[in-house]
Amino acid sequence: MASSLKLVSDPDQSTPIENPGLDMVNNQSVDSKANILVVDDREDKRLAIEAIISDLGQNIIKAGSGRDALRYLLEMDFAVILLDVNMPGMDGFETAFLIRQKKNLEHVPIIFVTAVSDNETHLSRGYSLGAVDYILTPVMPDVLRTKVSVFVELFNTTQQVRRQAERLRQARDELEMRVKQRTNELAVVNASLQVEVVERKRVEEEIRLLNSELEQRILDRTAELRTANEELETFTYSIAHDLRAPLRQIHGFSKLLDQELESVTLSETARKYLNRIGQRGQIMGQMVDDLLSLSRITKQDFDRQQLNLNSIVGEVVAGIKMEIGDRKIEWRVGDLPTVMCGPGLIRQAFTNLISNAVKYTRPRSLAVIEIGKTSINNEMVIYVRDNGVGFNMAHADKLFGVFQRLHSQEAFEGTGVGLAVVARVIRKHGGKVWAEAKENEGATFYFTLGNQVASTNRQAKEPPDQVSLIVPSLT
Amino acid sequence: MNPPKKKYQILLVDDSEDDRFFMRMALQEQSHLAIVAELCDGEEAIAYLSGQGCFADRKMHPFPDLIFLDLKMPRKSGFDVLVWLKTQQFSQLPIVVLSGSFLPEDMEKSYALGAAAYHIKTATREEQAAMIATIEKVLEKKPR
Repeated sequence: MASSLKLVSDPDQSTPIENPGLDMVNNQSVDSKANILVVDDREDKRLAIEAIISDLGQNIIKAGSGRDALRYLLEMDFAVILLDVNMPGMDGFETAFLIRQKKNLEHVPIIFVTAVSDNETHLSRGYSLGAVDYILTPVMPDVLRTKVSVFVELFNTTQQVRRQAERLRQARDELEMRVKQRTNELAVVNASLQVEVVERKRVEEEIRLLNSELEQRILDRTAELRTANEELETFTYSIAHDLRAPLRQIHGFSKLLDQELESVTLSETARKYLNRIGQRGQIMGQMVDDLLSLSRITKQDFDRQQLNLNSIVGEVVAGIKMEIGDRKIEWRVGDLPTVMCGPGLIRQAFTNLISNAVKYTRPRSLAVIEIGKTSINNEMVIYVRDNGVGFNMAHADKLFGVFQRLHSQEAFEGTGVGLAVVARVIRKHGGKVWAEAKENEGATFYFTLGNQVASTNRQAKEPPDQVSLIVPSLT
Repeated sequence: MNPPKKKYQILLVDDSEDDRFFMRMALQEQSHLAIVAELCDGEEAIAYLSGQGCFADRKMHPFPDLIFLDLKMPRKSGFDVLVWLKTQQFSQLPIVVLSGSFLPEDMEKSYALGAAAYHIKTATREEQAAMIATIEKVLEKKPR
């Protein structure tokens, strides 16, 4: 320990003492010097003690009287007080008593310095006044040094602890402040988030409203469309139905007229005209019947069933074979799949397609009609192919129209509804239908059957395959 | 040697004058089938069959052996007549429904209400001949 003797100004001169050494800066490693107060009326004793403890390197303040000591004590903090007992006027005990009176000096360590001879009485009195220790004169330097250094260390430790506590307090205050800051910042952010959330909720609600409005509008439109469609179909149907009676009667009278005129002489022209009237009446009747069938197809939902197409095609071909008599037709029916479809409707579609093939191959000496399946773009496609008269692809868009024909009535009979029926049936199944042909090189009709998911299960009423006399068995 | 065919009396109920005309023509050549009365609607038919009012005189308006009954008529329809007939005790009276309708539901309903046969009005000869064959079958089944 460096012996740094700091001379303090004479205690008898009342000059204010600067407080040396107490360092309140945060630097822990600065070990400030402690103050030691030496109180003795005799200067030689003061100096002697000072000399002994100067090795400790602390600040030594000398006071010549109890009064001076008190004065110093008011101005500075001391680690320990070495207090002579025998002093004139105010002795050590009285001084100690007065020291202890001061609130902040209650715990300052006081070491009484006294001669051996005053021992016992002094001891107990000293302790009762708050002394912590005694030093007996003649002073043993080592003992004194040791005792003093203990209190100096204690003082230093206490100061350190105080400093640390202060630093902790500061740190804590700072932390608190930062926490407060953060909390405030968070509060602000939170507030703005809340606003955002509210806004978002509002927007979501708006969107939800718009969506449900839209859905409602879609529902309304769909209902409107469905009603309009149904009304149209009903209209078509009832018109067609009501037209049938007078057409039938025209036909009837036409026939009767023929009979009547058998015996009458008529010019060729007159007969021809009458013939034409009769024929056209029949065609009109046929068209009305076709319109009826057509409207009935779209009017109804149908039950889909798993159906093997080969069995349907087989039935249709068998029926047609009966009608064509001894015409030569080569039938090539390939392996057809089993699909979900409406039996009556699909039968109608095949009937129309195959009848067309039969009709338009009439000019051929050997007609070839092929029915099979193929794959186009990974989709399964059914086709009906013939080697008949074909048609010009330029007019292909008219093929499936109602009453549209690409051939004359004289060349090939028909009203032009057969393919319209096919198109509607296929469309009802969610599929597509199209054709490819070349004039005089035959034609191929392709169709797909859309999604194979079962549709609604309203009870289906199948349209009749033909409009004709139905005579029930009476057995 | 065929026994002489019994003469059957037929009541024709149809609101269309033309259709009644065609039926008359069709039955003209059948000597054993005679149209004994022609009526225009269901109400008249019910009145005739009950012998009400002007139809009370059975000499003038004999009870028929067979009825041709149109479906679509004003006032009371063919179905109404069928329903009424079910409440009556004319067990021997076969009814042949005439209609322009090919709807299966009309056919089913007619049979359900007791029709003996259902005929779709037609103008062709062949179909008329078939109709006549049906009528004869129906009449043969009648107990004498």
